[in-house]
Amino acid sequence: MMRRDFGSREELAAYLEGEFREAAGRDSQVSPIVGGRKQAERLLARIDPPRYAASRNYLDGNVSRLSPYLRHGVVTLRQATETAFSKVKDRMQAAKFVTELAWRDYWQRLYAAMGRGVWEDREELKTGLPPGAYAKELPGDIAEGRTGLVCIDAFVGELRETGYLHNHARMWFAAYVVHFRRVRWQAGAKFFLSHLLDGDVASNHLSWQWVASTFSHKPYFHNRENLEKYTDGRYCRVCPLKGKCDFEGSYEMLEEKLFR
Amino acid sequence: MSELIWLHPDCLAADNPAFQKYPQAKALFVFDEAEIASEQWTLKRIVFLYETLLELECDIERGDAVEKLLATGASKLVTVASVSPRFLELVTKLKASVEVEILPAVAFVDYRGSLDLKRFSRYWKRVEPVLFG
Ligand SMILES: Cc1cc2nc3c(=O)[nH]c(=O)nc-3n(C[C@H](O)[C@H](O)[C@H](O)COP(=O)(O)OP(=O)(O)OC[C@H]3O[C@@H](n4cnc5c(N)ncnc54)[C@H](O)[C@@H]3O)c2cc1C
Repeated sequence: MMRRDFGSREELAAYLEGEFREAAGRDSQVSPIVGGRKQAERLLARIDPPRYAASRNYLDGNVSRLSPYLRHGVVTLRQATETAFSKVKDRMQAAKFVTELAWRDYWQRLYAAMGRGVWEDREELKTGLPPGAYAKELPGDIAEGRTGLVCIDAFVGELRETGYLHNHARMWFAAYVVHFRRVRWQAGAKFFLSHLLDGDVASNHLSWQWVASTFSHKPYFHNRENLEKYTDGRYCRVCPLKGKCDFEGSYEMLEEKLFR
Repeated sequence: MSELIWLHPDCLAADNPAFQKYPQAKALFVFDEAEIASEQWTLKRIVFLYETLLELECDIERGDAVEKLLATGASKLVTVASVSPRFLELVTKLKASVEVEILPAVAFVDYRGSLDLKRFSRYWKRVEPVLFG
């Protein structure tokens, strides 16, 4: 039987580091995100559906940060939906938030149908490149956060430290790995699964497939302008590669560079 | 020993359907070493789950989930459904030795009928009217 009495979070972390040596060997950081229903209820109380709809694409937008709790059934999608509806006069004002909750339900239903098949390409790539053009392993500079791209390295640091990334950061990171570095989506998906507190094979792998284009009509990618806008320039401002980074240029130019 | 609530990583709430149906039953969570290894969990996920478990009335073990659950000697395991293939495999193994009652998880939406899952838009076309009337 494992212990249940701890004087502090530090004591708990030290105990678990001793019990789970392999996991700690992969990464022994402890997230500032605290587990448990109490914290989940604090986050539920803070849901603000209209502000969410207006700002969710921005890194410091009003997102809920409920994902680790929803992932583990600490709160249910139903509870999150009802809470959102209770905060607005007209349900439609909560439509954006509830649609995002629905994505989780959708991925879960697909997972039920696909099982371990989620690890394989669901459809052909739409990038015009053969599967063999993509590297099998995640390059070390990405996993260690030393690509030189301030944004990407910051995402890796945050992921390793907190186990959470904003949805847009997940999309940019996945696009960077798959399209700008030509690495198989599975390699990136495994890296996320290892570090995300909300790591979930359904939402994670199918989102990676969506970025890669094996589960969508076209590949998802971004340019620097897009990233700069939704991050309020916080990375580009201090990036030595600004003006000459991989993401520079129009979508047409990047499409030409990445996929022809 | 009678019923035992089997807590797994998809149902960690004190008001989950298993606790609701068997409020007197004891509960057990096993950190399954095979799962941790196959998903390559890092320490932070384990701390997060552990903190969640400390708010629940349950025993906590680590090792092989099937072995640990069977070692309790429970005559029946009660749990909440999950779609994960790992969960389904554990259920199959457990059922060879013990009765397992699987209660449905709380649904996001009460939709009866089949859903076309080819794309989110098709799914949403059916589900949206149920939620928004
Ligand atoms: C490459 C990639 C990998 C991802 N991996 C995971 C994962 O392993 N686990 C996971 O839960 N989500 C994953 N997502 C989806 C999404 O990024 C996160 O759910 C969301 O960012 C969590 O933050 P939040 O709780 O503040 O979200 P909010 O925007 O506040 O949304 C509320 C809830 O809705 C659900 N949700 C929102 N957006 C999505 C989405 N696009 N897909 C599925 N569910 C969504 C989540 O449960 C979330 O907690 C991934 C997305 C991408 C692009």
